Amino acid sequence: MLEKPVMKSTTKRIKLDWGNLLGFEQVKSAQNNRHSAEARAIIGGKIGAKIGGKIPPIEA
Amino acid sequence: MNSISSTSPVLTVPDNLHAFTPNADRARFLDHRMRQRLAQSLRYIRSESDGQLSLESESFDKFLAQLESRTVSPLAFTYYNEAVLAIEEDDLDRATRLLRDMSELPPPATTLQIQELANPTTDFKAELYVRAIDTDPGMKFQVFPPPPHAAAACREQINQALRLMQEGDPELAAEIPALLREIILAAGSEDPKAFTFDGGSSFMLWGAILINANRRDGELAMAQMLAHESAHNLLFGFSANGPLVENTADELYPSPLRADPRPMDGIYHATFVTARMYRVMRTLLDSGILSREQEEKARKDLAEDARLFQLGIDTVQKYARLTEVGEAVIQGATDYMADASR
Repeated sequence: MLEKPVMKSTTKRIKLDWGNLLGFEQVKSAQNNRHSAEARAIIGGKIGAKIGGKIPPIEA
Repeated sequence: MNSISSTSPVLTVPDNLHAFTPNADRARFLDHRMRQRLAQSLRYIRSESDGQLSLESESFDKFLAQLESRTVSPLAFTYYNEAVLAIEEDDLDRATRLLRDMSELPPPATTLQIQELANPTTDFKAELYVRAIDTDPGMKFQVFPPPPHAAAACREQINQALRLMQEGDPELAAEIPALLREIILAAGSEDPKAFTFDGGSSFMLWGAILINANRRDGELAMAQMLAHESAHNLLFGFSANGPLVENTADELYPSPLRADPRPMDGIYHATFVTARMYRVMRTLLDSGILSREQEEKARKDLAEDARLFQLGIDTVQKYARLTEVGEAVIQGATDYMADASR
């Protein structure tokens, strides 16, 4: 298992322009305000979900 | 990222790129384009890292060359996604490990594989499958390895559904293995109050779908499930150069398909995949191969899919700010549904 990051540096050593990265275009305009978790959500998985036995059928 | 790297082969864009009808050749083009974009992104990361990521040049270059020339494990996209996020966290050791592990992934089998999810708490690759799918902070859910008996029954039902489509919907039967390399069988919570899932897909798991092996409902329902999840992958393929909708993720709209307000990207996806579910039922019904009982179920499902599509497309037409590609793709679905309901 790879451990999760435990500390953040205030200065990133590698600065990426997300406009140059497959899949990250959708978050590039607000890159500096986005945390990684938000970026994951935006790129996001699509789930056919059922919640508590009710049927909200086929949405992401 | 609008230009193709000089080291990448030029791809010929098919004439029917955004057509609604399933097409295996188009799916292979989309797969090639996704891999090419991934290779470009990885070259960009290595260039920007200026040696701060300890990547062994020869093996990494070999992986990039393979990436552009043949199919790759869906996990390559997940490793890449996690590596980018690790770089954003300034955890370069983790980013290096992820990119090294990605470059050592074995090539996938040449035919569509049905595999069982390993335990995500002890197997890192299984954890990555789940992390790629479970991205909605408002709807967390648990994913487990499937019970062996459920996995065996689900595998059989998938094969029955694929055979049914080969006979009654050969276009979709050919497109699915061109889009997908892996069907991952998993299981969700059995708690009736918990979030669970029927199936899942992710941009960052390009070429794989996850299916809940405990939620089987016959080969006809499985055919719809495969049409549904493969259609999500098709939309991811269309998104290789940018989004389909310009609405931001924090703009929420009343969803006809879920009780909670949803981002437009999700509503757009749901609307399109509903049309693909309708199409597979319509095509199988028209083929004449269904039993009387199956025909009855198909007609019932068709009516529900048509109703949901109409609700979805009304929301899209009212609120979506579509890109050019997004407009072309959803127009194809709209035209199909209009013709099919005549």
